Amino acid sequence: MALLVPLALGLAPADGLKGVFAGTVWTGEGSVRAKAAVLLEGSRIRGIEEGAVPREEPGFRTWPGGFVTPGLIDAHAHLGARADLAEDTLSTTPEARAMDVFEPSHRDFARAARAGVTAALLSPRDDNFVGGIAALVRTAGPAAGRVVRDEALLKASFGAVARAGEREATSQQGAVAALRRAIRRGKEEGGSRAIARAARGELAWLAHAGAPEEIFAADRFAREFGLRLHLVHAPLAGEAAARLKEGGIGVVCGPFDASTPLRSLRSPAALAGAGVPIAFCTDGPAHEPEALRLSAALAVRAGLDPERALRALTVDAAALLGAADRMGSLEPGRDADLVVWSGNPLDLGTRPLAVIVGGEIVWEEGARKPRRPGEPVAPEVRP
Amino acid sequence: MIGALLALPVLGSGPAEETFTLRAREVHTVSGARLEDSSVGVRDGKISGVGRGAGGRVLEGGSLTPGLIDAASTAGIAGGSNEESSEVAPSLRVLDALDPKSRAMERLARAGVTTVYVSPGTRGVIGGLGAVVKTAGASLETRVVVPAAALKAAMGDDPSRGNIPIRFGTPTSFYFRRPTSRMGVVWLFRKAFFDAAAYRERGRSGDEDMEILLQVVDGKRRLRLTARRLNDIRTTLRLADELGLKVEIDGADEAHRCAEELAAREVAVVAGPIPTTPVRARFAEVDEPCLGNAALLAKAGVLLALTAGDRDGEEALPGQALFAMRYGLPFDAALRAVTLDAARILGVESRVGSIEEGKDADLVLWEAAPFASRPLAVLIDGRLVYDAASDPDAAAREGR
Repeated sequence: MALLVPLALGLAPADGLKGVFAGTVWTGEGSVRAKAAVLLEGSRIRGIEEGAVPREEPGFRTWPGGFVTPGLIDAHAHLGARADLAEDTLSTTPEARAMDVFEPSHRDFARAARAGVTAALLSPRDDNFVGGIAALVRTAGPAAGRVVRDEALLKASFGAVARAGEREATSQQGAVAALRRAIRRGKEEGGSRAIARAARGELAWLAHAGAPEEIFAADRFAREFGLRLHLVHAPLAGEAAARLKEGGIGVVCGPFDASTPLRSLRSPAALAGAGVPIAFCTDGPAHEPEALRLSAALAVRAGLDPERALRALTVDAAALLGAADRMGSLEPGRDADLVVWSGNPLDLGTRPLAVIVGGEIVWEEGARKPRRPGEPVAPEVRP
Repeated sequence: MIGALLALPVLGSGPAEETFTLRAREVHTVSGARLEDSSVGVRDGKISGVGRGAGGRVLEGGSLTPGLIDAASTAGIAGGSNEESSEVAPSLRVLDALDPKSRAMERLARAGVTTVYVSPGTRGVIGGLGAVVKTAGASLETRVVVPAAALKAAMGDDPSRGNIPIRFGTPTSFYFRRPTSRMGVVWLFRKAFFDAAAYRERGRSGDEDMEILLQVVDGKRRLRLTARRLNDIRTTLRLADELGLKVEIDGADEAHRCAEELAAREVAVVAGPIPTTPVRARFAEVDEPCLGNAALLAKAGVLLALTAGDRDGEEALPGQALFAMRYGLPFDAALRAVTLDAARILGVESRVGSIEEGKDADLVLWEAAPFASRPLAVLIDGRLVYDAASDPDAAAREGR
């Protein structure tokens, strides 16, 4: 790992990356192209050129054995600010904004970027019934383009962790009553703007739920107030898949690891099978960024269709987070956030070869030092 | 574990509604005459005929009763039955915390209990809204009979137990608070209703807590109080007079000492559970509970139901009926107390509580006499939610 040095942030692509040729390109929109080039224009994707041949012109890079995907999206994380994303004194803090503790230069983001995770939902933690507003950020690239949506979702929690301690509320009944009160107050004159927006459906909710009855309570709550709501964690959500589908609820699954019970690992497959939109998350830095691919791979092992797993890591996550127009696929006009892998990223032996954000190579295997503007990228070094 | 997995199809959602004919040597309709060697038909989730079957699958047993009703259960509440942060919380709803996959509910269904009133616990002076639900069914939604039922309140020691009087140490916890005495409990109860009256007088609106209290004042919502000791029961009656409230009581360990008064005032009582462990070990408020409590209440003409509270196994509701019978409650009264009269107290007698055409097909087929024998089959809304013949757990439990 000592060789893998993250490249400095905020460097303009002076040499202008114009295209990436790889043996395989997975576009995120359901098609796999062999021997294709992703053409870039500035910080955006211009298109895909099929049947391309490696070119020796400046601005073109070639990975003959590479597997290109859109950059992965971590749909629930606390990167760079874990301790600062829960306000403990109150149980309902809808006006708190994760954006206010976003530190783009924190090493958590560089670590995520070099694992192929190019965007993350920076979210308030699960500790409050209403935790605050989550922001969708990119993990690397020019400072100006790091924030994709500063008000992406309103974080809520139906979990036991929000009822711990001696403050309102200590029971699940009390928690739901507190949420109901929060909505009612938010609708009043002078009430919380965030709650009011979320109650009107302008802002979707992302609700942590653990046990089945918490999933049920969240679903019921969404129906009662006509909310746009998605779940995060919810390890047994798959067992309520039909209901969640009916309510238009998506689920951010994971993080999974080797100790996750099979019953939970089966959840993404059951959800996807019922047509529920899914994404994956790491809760980073609580888990390493690699936990994102690991979670998806474990879900595949437990029955999730591999194509759906890749979509959940990219295009479906983008849709769930309300940023499908910006990221998650290699459609023309999308941000040029992509990863060149040594193989299919669902194969855990696969490693990233290069990570491109906003049309710029922000990390590359074997690069020994930060690349200066105009400086050629270091020659590829195979371990 | 394997047994539990195998048992899942037996309980849980189970098969869709079927057509059944249930035959028994004795059919206890509760609302009407007892039928000998008779049949009951079940179709589309309802009782389609009494004294005649409906074709379909035939189930046979010694006796048939309506599904049992526990009018003061604590089963299935997830995340704590009490909200500790507030003493007066009328707008809490127990339905928000009901576990759709509760094992306690599964055990109730297996014991023949098909409908329960579940309420917030007794730590709050005014704890919130209970719910009337079936113990099994296709989903929690379809199981709900009354989503927001009687408002739950408590007298006596329960709401103050655990609160710390300010004279001990530095107040660092929210348990340093009122009430810390019986008097304080009554004070908070009374204040809540005074606040509601003031809220109405000022023409305010939009406060759900106050609206719920006013529904109780206006007689549009039932009020259930836990009152165990005689002084708590008398206080409850006094508060009812003072504030103009219609009340019903559970806990009620000493209700037999004022049975005539309760009967005269038409205050319904949910009695039990009868203690089977040493009283002191249970932190009970009543030193020597009267085992004939239920019998004396019924004799005085009190509208009576029985509850097993949080008890399980042999202490479950059929066991409570047997205990009450052992200490003087006639069988017919015991059966009514766990079926039709319980339904009346909960205000759901139009749907459950007796074997009548058109009512929900909630039925228990017993091997021999009700309570004293084991349930062979339990139907809820026309679904066979428990079938002893296909329950491998039952065989193991009962040593067959």
